[in-house]
Amino acid sequence: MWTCMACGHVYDPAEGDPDSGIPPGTAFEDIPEDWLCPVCGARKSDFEKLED
Amino acid sequence: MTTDSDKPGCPFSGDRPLFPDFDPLVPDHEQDPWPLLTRARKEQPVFWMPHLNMYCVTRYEDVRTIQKDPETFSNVGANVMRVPIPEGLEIPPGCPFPSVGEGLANQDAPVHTRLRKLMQPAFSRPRVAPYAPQIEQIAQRLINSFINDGKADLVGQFANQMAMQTIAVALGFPAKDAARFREWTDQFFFLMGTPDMAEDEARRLWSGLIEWYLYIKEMVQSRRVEPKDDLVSALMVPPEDENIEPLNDDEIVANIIAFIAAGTDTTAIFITQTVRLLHAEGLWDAVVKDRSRLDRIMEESLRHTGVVRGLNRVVTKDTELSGVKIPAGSMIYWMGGSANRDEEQFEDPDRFDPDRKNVFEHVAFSGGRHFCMGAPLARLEAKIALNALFDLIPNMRIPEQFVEYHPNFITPAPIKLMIEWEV
Repeated sequence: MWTCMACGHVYDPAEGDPDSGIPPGTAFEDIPEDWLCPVCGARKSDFEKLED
Repeated sequence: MTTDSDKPGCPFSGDRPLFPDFDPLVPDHEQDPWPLLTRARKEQPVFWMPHLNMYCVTRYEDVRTIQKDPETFSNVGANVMRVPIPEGLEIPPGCPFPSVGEGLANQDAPVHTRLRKLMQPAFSRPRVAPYAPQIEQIAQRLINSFINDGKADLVGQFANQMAMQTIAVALGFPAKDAARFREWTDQFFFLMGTPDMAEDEARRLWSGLIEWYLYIKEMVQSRRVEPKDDLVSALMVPPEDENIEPLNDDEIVANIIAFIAAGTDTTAIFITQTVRLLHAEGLWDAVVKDRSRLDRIMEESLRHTGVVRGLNRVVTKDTELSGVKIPAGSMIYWMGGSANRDEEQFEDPDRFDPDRKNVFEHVAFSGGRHFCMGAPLARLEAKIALNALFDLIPNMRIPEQFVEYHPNFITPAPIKLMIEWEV
């Protein structure tokens, strides 16, 4: 799981981000660099990995 | 890297500062700071600006360090009015000035965390997307008001109006009041970013800000009584988490003011500079025909020329950036504009290249916890504005590329940009 440092949105690889063209099952590392947080628009590098 | 300025007896500012005269308020530096900033990133990436009493940070890596470490680089006290309140002028109780205290941009965790959690839903991408039809109407109406003239001032007749009217729609304010937002926003940024000012002028601007506060306060109070389908009312919706204290009226007023200030001038600059760049780069005609790269073009415009040239933080403990020691309590000015031209991060950074692979890595909307909450609305509005210009004025020309700026070290805004077309 990865969380957006700006808004707290959590990216769950199991769910992906279908509205942005990221299918379920996509690892965070495999998301294109031009993907933006679906909630606040922050860039991918503003996400940090959540501890397991 | 360790610099000469670390040597004993040589304070940070250095006995031999390389950039003693750099002043983002001087017209030449405001107009074209890039060559000097390129030198700064290589030779003295963090330097002291004695006239503004703050450290200037120019490198991308340092800027990202600042954004990702809000405990060391605090927002509390960072965004303040630098022009003092004139003697005899009374600030009403509850008025957030001069520090915009309850505003998000002036807070750290845990206060910031709570405010952001409460406010983010109202500003999210899904929440602002439905404004698109209204924003399109604004753009078309504005262009149609001057389309038969064959010329217009893109700044005064379009970009500024777009920004003001969009904000009015989003906030649910009467359209007739939109023009006042521009005036108030100008006053806000002049008091924040133009320290040297005559007292008469300071009095006039401060009086305007107080008027603005009273206007917003009345609007917020009216929404408490009669909520509408707008952002102000959305901020009053109690949070799902009962453990979080809802926003009070002072917090809503402060953040609405901050939102208007942050979203009016900035989006107008974003639209203006993108149009100017498309012409300067000879890309206008191609983009009119093929909009598929528009998102990347907009992001490259933000990176290349940007909107906010720099912002402030207060250092909470002794720290170091690019080998330069910065004592606790110092004010720093992190130059996103310079970071976005950092050759260590962006290949051939002075080139306008929407196809660069890391085009979205710019810091024009800041980053980390303080990533601009209005970014979704800014991107939506700018894209609609640009598409309306492509559709209605496809044969646009810009006869004179030179742009004069309002003096401001935070958001230097173009004063005027004439456009022409065949009627």
